[in-house]
Amino acid sequence: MTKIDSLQIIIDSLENVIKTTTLENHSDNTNRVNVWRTVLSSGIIILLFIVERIITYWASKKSRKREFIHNVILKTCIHDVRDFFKEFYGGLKSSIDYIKQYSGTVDQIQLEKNFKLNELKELKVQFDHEFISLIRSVNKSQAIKLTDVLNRIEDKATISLTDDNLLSIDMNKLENEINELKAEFFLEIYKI
Amino acid sequence: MKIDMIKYRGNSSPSYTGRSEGLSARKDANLDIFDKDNKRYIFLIPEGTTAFNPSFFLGFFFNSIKAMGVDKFRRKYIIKIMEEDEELKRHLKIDISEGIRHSVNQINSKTTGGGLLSFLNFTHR
Repeated sequence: MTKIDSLQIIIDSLENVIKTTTLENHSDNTNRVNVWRTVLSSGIIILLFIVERIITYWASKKSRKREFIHNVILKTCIHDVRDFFKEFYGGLKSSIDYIKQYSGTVDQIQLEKNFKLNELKELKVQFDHEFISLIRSVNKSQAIKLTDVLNRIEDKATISLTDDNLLSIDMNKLENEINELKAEFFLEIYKI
Repeated sequence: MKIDMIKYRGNSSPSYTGRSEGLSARKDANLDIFDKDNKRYIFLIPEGTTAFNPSFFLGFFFNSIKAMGVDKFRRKYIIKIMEEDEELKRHLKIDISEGIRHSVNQINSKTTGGGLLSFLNFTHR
């Protein structure tokens, strides 16, 4: 009996809930409240969506610009940068080797040194015009830093080639110094 | 007034290199004082010079160009190359013009606007 009573109570209470709910659904006031609740919650969701879109837009603005510069400018030029360093150091090394073995008068050796140095300077100026000018159009302050590194590479070549005693030049040290400048150059590119 | 640049060339070196070397030479030559007067100065780059690198040029002349602008700089400071070898002279002239170009770029880098960056900013507005 006790079991049956309990079951009946549950059934009664469920019926009561259904009745109340049905009554609520049919009530005008409750309906209006429900409509407003739905509209308000939908509005909040739409508003949150718009706010999220705006925040994402502004947050990604810088990264999209950076991505554009990297994809359109840097990706296409990175081989040129590598080639420049390879060609510059290769040119410097072969010039030093050539002058070391060159037999001529002091004036003739000086002329050869000048000729070789000017070849390297022209290479640097050409690279500056082709690559740094492009960087300058998107980031002027980074272009200045890149130019500074290039100028230091030019100084290295000038000092090495105009050295009175080319035989004493430590080529490993020179190569390391050029590689350090190359690393610095790539680091500055990365910061663009 | 003539200023002989030979004393600013490195020890037994035929070239001018290094921004810091250019800056020390500038201090020694009292260029900050020269910048303020109305006189003209002739800088003599001695014979036997093989390079007048932009790094040295920037150290030596950048502050003057920044203070007075390129046009006034060109009128006030005459850089005379004493070298007679035409090929060497041509390369020294390139070094000087590169130095001026780098100075102008450096001055312009402090101002905003222009270039692709401006275009990108515009498209994002």
